[in-house]
Amino acid sequence: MIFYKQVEDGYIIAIGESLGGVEISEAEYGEIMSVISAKPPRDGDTDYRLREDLTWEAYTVEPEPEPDLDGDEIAEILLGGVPE
Amino acid sequence: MAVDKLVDSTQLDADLTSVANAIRTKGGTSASLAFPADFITAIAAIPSGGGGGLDCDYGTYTPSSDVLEASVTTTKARKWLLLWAASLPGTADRIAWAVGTTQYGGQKGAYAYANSSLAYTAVNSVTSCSFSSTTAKVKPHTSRKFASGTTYNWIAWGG
Repeated sequence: MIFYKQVEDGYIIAIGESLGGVEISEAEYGEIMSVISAKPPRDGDTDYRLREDLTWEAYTVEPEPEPDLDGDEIAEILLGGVPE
Repeated sequence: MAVDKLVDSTQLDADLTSVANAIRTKGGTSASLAFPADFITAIAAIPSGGGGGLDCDYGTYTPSSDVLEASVTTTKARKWLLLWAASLPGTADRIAWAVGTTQYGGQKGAYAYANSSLAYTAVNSVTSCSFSSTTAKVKPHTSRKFASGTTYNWIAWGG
């Protein structure tokens, strides 16, 4: 199995098994997975992103726009509710 | 505001059945296949290379932070991608997407959460999926994200 990490601007965005990004060893994959599993929880507008040196960097999350729903989508929510 | 769309279960069932039929045809079996474990087992049992195995790519994707878009790499340009969470916290079910170049529904369950509430909720559709050469990018519906630390399995085929 091939392991990879996706790196963008000095941050590890994702890891996985298959092609893609920078190929890494299984040992490095396991190490990064352990770090990701211990990600500090988001606190309000402060979240964390993973540097390539496997340390977490705090940053302020920018507010995201409200979803832009059309009439059909609104009607579905009102009439059908949200599936479990 | 957290919102959801209704699941088009008929469309999803039809798509999953078509995938199962393709797997059964290639695998030379008529056995019932429950998603996802039997799909994985059946695909793994199909001989590769000269044995005429199913032409597909597969792998995993684990984001380090919550992300709006997942990007996976395939060996060649593909037409279809099926992606689901291997496991999720809380009471969430697993989610499956049958994704082509247009929007399809997802199965009952949850794979991501809304930013505002951090509560895992039912999610049922995909905003977009784009294929560009050997890269497939998927965005969940309505500002939902792929959850940090959650491993998503995927299979891509066609093309």
